[in-house]
Amino acid sequence: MPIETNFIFSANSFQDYLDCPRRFELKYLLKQNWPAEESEPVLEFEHNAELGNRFHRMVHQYLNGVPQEILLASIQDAALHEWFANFHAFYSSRKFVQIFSEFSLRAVINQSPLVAVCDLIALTADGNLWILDWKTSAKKTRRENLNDRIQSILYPFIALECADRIFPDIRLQAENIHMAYLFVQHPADNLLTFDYSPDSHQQNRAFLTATIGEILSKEPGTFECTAEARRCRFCVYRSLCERGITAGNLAELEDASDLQDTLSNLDFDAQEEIAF
Amino acid sequence: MALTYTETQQNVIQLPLDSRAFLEGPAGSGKTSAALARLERILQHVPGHEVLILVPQRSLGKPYYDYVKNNPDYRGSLPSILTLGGLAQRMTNLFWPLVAEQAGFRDPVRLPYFLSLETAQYCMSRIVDPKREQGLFNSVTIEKNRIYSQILDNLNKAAVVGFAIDEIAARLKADLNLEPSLAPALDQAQACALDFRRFCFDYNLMDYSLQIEVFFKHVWPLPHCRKYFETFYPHVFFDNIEEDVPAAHDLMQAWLPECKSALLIMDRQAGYRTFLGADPSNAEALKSVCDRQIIAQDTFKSLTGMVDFQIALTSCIRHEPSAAILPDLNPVLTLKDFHFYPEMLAGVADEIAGMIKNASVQAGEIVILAPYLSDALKFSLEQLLQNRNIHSYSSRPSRMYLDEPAVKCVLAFAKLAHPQWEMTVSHFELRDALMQTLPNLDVIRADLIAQTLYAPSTGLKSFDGVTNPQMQARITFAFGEKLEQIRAWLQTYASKDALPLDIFLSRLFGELLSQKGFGFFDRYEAGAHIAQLINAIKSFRQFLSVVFGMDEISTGIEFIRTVEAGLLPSAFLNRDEAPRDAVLIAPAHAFLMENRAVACQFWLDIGSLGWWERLNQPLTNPYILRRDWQPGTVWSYNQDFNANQEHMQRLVSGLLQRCEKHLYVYSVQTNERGSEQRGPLLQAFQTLRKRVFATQGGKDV
Ligand code: SF4
Repeated sequence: MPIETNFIFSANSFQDYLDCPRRFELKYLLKQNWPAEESEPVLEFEHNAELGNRFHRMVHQYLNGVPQEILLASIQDAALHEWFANFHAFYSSRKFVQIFSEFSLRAVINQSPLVAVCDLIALTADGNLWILDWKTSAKKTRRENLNDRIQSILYPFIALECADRIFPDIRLQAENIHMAYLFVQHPADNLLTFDYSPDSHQQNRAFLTATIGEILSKEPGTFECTAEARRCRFCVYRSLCERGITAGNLAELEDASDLQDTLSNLDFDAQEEIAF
Repeated sequence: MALTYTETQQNVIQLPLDSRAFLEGPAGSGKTSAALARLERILQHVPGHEVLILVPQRSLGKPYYDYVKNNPDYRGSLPSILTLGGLAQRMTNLFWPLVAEQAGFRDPVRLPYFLSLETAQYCMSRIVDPKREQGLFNSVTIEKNRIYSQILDNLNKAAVVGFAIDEIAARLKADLNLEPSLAPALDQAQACALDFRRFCFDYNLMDYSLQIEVFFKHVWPLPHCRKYFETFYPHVFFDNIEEDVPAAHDLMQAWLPECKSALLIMDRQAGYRTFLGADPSNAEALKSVCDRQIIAQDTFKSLTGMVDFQIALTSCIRHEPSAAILPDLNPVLTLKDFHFYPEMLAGVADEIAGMIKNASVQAGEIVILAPYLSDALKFSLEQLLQNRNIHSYSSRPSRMYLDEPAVKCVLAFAKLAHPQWEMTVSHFELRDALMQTLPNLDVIRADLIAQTLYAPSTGLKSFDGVTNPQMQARITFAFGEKLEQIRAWLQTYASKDALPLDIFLSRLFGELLSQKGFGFFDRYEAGAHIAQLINAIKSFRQFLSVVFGMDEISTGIEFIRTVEAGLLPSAFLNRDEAPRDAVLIAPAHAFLMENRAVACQFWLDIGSLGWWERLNQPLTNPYILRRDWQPGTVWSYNQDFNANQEHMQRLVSGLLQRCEKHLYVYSVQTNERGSEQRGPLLQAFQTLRKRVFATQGGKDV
């Protein structure tokens, strides 16, 4: 099945393509549900993902006006309590004049829609726009790995492309855009910021255009399997691709931080991208 | 290609940006097209996130969703396309910590759990079943699942119409058509509704009715909620308002005076969801909060033959005299009568196959409609079409995937792997499971394996342990080797702690059955069916463990028990897009809620009373549980008759307005249940036939 002209590219779908083109084909073009285990232990992963969800929900509630003390009173989990405190320490140190929490944006490259679902978009009084992403993983991702993540390319790109539509009264330039990740398990030194520039914007446009072009030009069946077979340990399609039997254990990733940092499907904080 | 708009549409599009307009007109008069163009204009001036598009049902939001999705130039933030239920859930979830306690939930610091239709039914079963065991509801002859759904329906109606839930029984007793023996059952249904509400408060559960109530009573009055509306919903589009419930109208009554712009759209002749609480007359009251009213009259597509047919048929339904000269209906109508139901279904499939072969119509332009769509009917039609290489689909949730051989196969292995469940696998089950698992295993050999290597008490025995060499040769060593692999996998599993059922199945599928050399290797469809099963089990596990604190392992047995009781779980195919080239099989109402026209429609079994009367629902009544119901009045036989007449007439008009080329009407002398039905729709068509015959000098339809 060829890719639809209105296929919506997101951080997840791009990252899947970059991780493994065959996975992209199976997941998005063939829409193949393949019910094998992705990783083990499943219940531990579910638990972490659930905690991540709860944290994101609490922050969303807080940013929409639910008072901190009411939220704190509702937390029964010590870890969540700590994460929220770390988040709050960061957030209250900033002065934002306008914020949008859990906010979806859409841009277009050569008629192909791109979508970003941001944890927070926040404008400062001096006209700087912050795209903030909450990370609940125990380990801080290395800067160079995060820099390579598609999210760090896509989100600032879309934000700049859309800025005039969201803030019609302000002229935002690339230099005013900042993408930052807050690692809420860490009380200090927990923010990784990537500044943006006209050059980065041009490079990102070129990269996204080329990647989209590459995907659109592929014939069905020509999406190749990743050369990095260890990724297959953490992919549901491993039996279909004849790439192994058992699912990888999350503990294995402790020793493979480069892999852990880039496995999009094992990100507890990955947003469910809306259907637009 | 640039679209051209009528003058009325232009008026809508060019309305001042701050206007609140009420647009009404018949189906096909271009209201939604005008609304989309208006949306485009609004989006040129305001950010997308400031637009709320409210629709009564998700399918009715599709044109808006498609507009944003397919617009190659749209960039910016995105509008919200929501139903009242979705909006209430979004807001309640967001502001839960501010309202949980005052709303009466026992454990306000815990998160709420939003019940689906199915989990709500499961919870209702925990209220109703013990009462049934004590003899309650014994005057009600419907199956127990329908008792649950009718009690839930009453709760929902109370919430969206706006009356107290302790008034349900008193209202329902006003129905003079009810058997007197049913009166105690109404009181029992009332008691169950109250118990269910307490149960929800105890466990932090939110069924649809409680979502609506909590939203209106506690969330909507919050300043935080108003602020949210001011930020995100200052521009409103509310389409098909006639299909929405009074609560949705109330919300707009309150919000419209404060919002910046609004376009409300009403289909004059519709109101197909009245049985779900839709209230067209209440919708009309929203005119009072709009500053202008626009009437769309122009019909775009020229459907002259269809319009004449509709007029002729309506006069037959109403038993009114016909026009002096009836038009020739042959170009738009085909009537066929069959002896038996299967014959009719085969006739439908043959007709469609012929049409597609002649390339006169594409599959995506055809719908097959019945008043209700049973799993059996859906399955038969799908099979018949599939045998003729025609794709079909249905948006209706179904339990049929549970009957898929691949699903039965993995469930058989689950039972084999968990002898402690004490659920026996029969020889036949094992034989079928092995045929799924081992490619090219024929039924004779599979049967031999089941007979030789399996006993329910001991499980699957070793192939290597077979001492008879002839038997080994008959089974073959190739299959024997695979059987040993299966046994080894099951033994390894048995040597460790048991897993929750969904995780067990994922592992069984991934590590064994979908590996090369086994039956599910690259079988995409089987994979998809098993994925549906695993998703259903996983959701149920999470529901039971979060809400009732059940341990994860026991949830698997509870799942199987519940499925066997016929309660769970339908698989909802999350299909945002209908498949492009496939015939739709749907209940007539569901098709109307897609609000789209097709070239050809097939109406099945028009003699069925289902086209006329509502489903037998002794514990609820959509006409009495309405906002304009006057307490103290009664619901008579005549009112019921007239309501049925009106309902059928609306349904028929709605369908014909969405049929562009040809209608195929099929009747059957002996229906699905083996009886003969000559319902009012069949009678109307017979009258029509006679009239045509009389006015056209012996020419039949
Ligand atoms: S198993 Fe490996 S090759 Fe196959 S889709 Fe997954 S990552 Fe790609």
